[in-house]
Amino acid sequence: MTDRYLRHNLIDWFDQDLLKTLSALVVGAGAVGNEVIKNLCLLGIGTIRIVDFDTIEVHNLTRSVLFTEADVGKNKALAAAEAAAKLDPYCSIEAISGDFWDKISFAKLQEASIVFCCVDNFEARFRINRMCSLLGVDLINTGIDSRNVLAEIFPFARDPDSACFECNLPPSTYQRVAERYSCGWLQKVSFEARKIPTTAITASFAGAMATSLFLYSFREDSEPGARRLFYDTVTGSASKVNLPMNPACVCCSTQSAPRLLVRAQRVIGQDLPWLKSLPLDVTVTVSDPILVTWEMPNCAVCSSTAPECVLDLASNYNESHTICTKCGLKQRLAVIRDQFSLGELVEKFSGRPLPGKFLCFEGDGTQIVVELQDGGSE
Amino acid sequence: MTEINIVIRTADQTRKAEVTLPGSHTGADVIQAAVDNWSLPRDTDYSLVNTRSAQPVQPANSLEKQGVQNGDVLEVQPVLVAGLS
Ligand SMILES: [Zn+2]
Repeated sequence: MTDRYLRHNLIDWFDQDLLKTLSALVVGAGAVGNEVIKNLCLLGIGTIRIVDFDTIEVHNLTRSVLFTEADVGKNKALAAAEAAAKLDPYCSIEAISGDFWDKISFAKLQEASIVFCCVDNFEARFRINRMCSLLGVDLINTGIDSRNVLAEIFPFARDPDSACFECNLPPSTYQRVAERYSCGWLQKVSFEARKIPTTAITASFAGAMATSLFLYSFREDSEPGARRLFYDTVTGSASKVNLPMNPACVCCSTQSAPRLLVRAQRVIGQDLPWLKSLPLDVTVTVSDPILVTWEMPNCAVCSSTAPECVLDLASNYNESHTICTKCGLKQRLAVIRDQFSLGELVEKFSGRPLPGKFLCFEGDGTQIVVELQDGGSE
Repeated sequence: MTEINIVIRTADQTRKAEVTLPGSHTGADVIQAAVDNWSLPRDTDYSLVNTRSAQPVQPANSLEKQGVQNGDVLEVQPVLVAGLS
């Protein structure tokens, strides 16, 4: 095994022993994820955990170095892990088929020395960024199009005051994300995400830049703070941008130190011992938008009936669910919220599972983050 | 009102303009002008970078408040969102 890394050992700053102790979480095993995984394997990292819910389609093959024709139809994380294991048998590789938000617990995320965000949409980036910033795990974000490449590092572990991914996003990004939803944050049935063409060239540059940011971040002369590398693969022009923390950031402004992380069963009133010691007017913020009720304010037939209580993730519903199940005609109004008073939760929803990944509230000057778990699970 | 002379360019440097702007103009004003005048794709988000200071120029704040000076080169960079498929 030592012979394998002989050439790395000639590089004075390359610490192979340290690299063998590190663990990377790669979210998204598409074009850029493939390149990152390939690089991490060849460099000789200790552990790679790969998470992706998507399956391989034939058009992915022009940009995915780890996939072959025989992999079409397989889960991307599983296929990438299989190919990566052949690149370096000494690297411990785990594939997780599913969505990052559902599959990666706080504990799993905290096991990572670095998270590589190789996804293709803003909402997934918001969630990954939020988790890494909350738990203090270094994050590297990537993005490509058909000619440009960006790689950004957010060193949350080393610098708790680091800017996050959202600190320097233009407001137009949020407007674009909102276009996916009708008013009330129900998904539009007809919405089709824009297809952005990419190439093997930009994917491989992004994988190289992202892995390089990671590798160099362990050097003593590594630069502090969040920063972005931007490269135009056609002209060769490159820029480096230092990313300052933005106090008005949508993500950072909701997080405060000191912070206490706890876990609890999601059934309200059952395994939530912290509930009993808190004032009932404390505001609880849930990590996901919750569809609380369906109401029929404008229907002559149904407006007198009580609102239908749902208490489920709003993401499980779309515009088609606004048709009333009673009269079949009028549009129902979805009441979607992510904030509740503690009193309201206990009074109205006791015994019901509170959906969402986690919830936050302030108690005695401490931000308390409760990871919500299903009964008996990890 | 203070005016500043700056160069605005796209990330690929195929578009470049030397302009004099009121310092009260925001980063968003500069991005919007670049998108309008150079017909940049409207289905993309852009961020603005001061190449002298290697700092982003925030869309909501004025150029003068963000220390943009005469002779600065502001680059309009697309916010890249793809990477998976
Ligand atoms: Zn932030």
